[in-house]
Amino acid sequence: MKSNLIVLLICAFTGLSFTSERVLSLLYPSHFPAPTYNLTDNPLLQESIDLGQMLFYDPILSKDYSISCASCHSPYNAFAHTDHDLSHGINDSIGTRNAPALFNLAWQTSFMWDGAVNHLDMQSLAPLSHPSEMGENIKDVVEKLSNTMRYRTAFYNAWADSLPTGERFLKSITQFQLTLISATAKYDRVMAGNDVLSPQEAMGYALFKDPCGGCHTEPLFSSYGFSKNGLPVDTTLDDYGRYRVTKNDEDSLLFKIPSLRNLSYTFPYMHDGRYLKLNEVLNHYNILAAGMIDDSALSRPMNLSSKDKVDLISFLMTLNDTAFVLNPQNKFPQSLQMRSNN
Amino acid sequence: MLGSLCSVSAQSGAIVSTDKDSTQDIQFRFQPQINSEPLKLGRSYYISGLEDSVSIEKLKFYIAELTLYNAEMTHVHISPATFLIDMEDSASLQRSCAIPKGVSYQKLSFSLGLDSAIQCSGAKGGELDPTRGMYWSWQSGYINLKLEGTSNSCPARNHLIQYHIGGFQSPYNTRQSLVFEYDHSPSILITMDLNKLLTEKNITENFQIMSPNQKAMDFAKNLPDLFRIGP
Repeated sequence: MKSNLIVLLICAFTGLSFTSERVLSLLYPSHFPAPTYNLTDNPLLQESIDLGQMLFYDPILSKDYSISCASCHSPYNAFAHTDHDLSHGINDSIGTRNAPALFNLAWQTSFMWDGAVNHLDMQSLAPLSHPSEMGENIKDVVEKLSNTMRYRTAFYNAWADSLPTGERFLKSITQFQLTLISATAKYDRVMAGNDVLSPQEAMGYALFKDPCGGCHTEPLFSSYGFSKNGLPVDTTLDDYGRYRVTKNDEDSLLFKIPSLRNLSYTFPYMHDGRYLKLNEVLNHYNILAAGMIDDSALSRPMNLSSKDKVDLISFLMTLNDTAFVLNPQNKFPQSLQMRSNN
Repeated sequence: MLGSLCSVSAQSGAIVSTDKDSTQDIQFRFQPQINSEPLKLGRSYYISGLEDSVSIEKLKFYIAELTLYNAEMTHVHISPATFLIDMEDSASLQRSCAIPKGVSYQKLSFSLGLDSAIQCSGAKGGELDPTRGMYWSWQSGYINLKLEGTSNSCPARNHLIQYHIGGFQSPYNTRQSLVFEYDHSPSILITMDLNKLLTEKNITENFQIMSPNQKAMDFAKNLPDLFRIGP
């Protein structure tokens, strides 16, 4: 009885609930749409989530055992890499893009700043294989895991077979990432009728709705589509965004629209981390000249006053989800601390 | 193991019985050739059209949607599985499937490469597992055909020829459909003539194709010409 209650409490906290004896489902508030990830292809089990969490925090995934997913996606920063403009990797490598925050991934259908990855399962292959990130390949990682007793046990618990495979490896990491749901910010309490916006936040909310809310759509605060935002190309990076994927001229400088949740934890901002402060981001959008970019929402000058900017930022602060960032369930797992069992 | 990958279903949706009385086994053998000889990896072959020698180190490709057609052209999918044909794994060249008996089959078709439904639906196991070296990491999608080798004519570093042909999104959908006349034989030899590829593809200029682009499309469009039924 007591253990059942604990299970229930943990589930409420991690955004999970049991639908049958073992299979879990994602818990999300009623103001959220239904997730887009197809759980029937990858049924959630606590054991697979646990395995995914071990993998997420384990530098065994990198070529030289030095970099884990969490190296650039820290739970304390809403799984972003606070204070680092570009991602870091093995051999002191620096990547070309800002490591994005990880949450509400079950609602996303494309991944990476240019949408090069079309499914959450396949996303981890990108940093795993990139020479400036983990510098590994999935075949060798699966081999390393096969030779580690701790993982053979964990794979057995999760997949009823102690043999790691690429599919099981990827789906386990997916399962952990699916549980990273940010839905407990002040905004969410307001939507649930359990809190109210202050007058300043309410004025900021009104300013937010047009034009920001066109791309950063509620309640996830992103349409998760792609947009040109008028930033000039950093010629040291020459990153033209989605053009690299589609080779279509119209997609030049399109980048994936990030969520505005947890902004206090995820600086610096933009795809290349060029802005350290939120004010710099607002100033960029505020001074965009008419016609500078085609996007209709951004083609009109925002003309925000200093007071407007303060109001807008006060609303954006209601999207900070402290409970998510501090959730002990998402942190470095105890199972990895038992190194001697290797 | 291969047997378990095969199942039989009719286009009508009716499940055709797989018991021994109503089905027969049909064998597929994929046979890549150079100079009319079965290809051996790592062996040097003199290619007269190229006026140089070539050695193939790696050849892997996906075959999917193996289908037989009867006279009414009602097609019968003889396997919903996808096959990774890999020269390093000789067993992968031989495939056996059960098909309904008593049907006069007229045509055989298969696709070289994978359709977008497979490419957009997440992690897969078995022959589609990304550990098989046929999945790109930097951009989602399978490599439909991987050919690597060396030739002194190739100006790349270490004279390495690398063709990783893939892409499933328009305008670079590299999957190819192949259709052949079928002569009722229970054993089907599918020959792949690599001479055509090595002489028609200019390996002195076009020696590296490793992403979905126009070069990959041009390469893929020539691939059906390499295949034939029979020796």
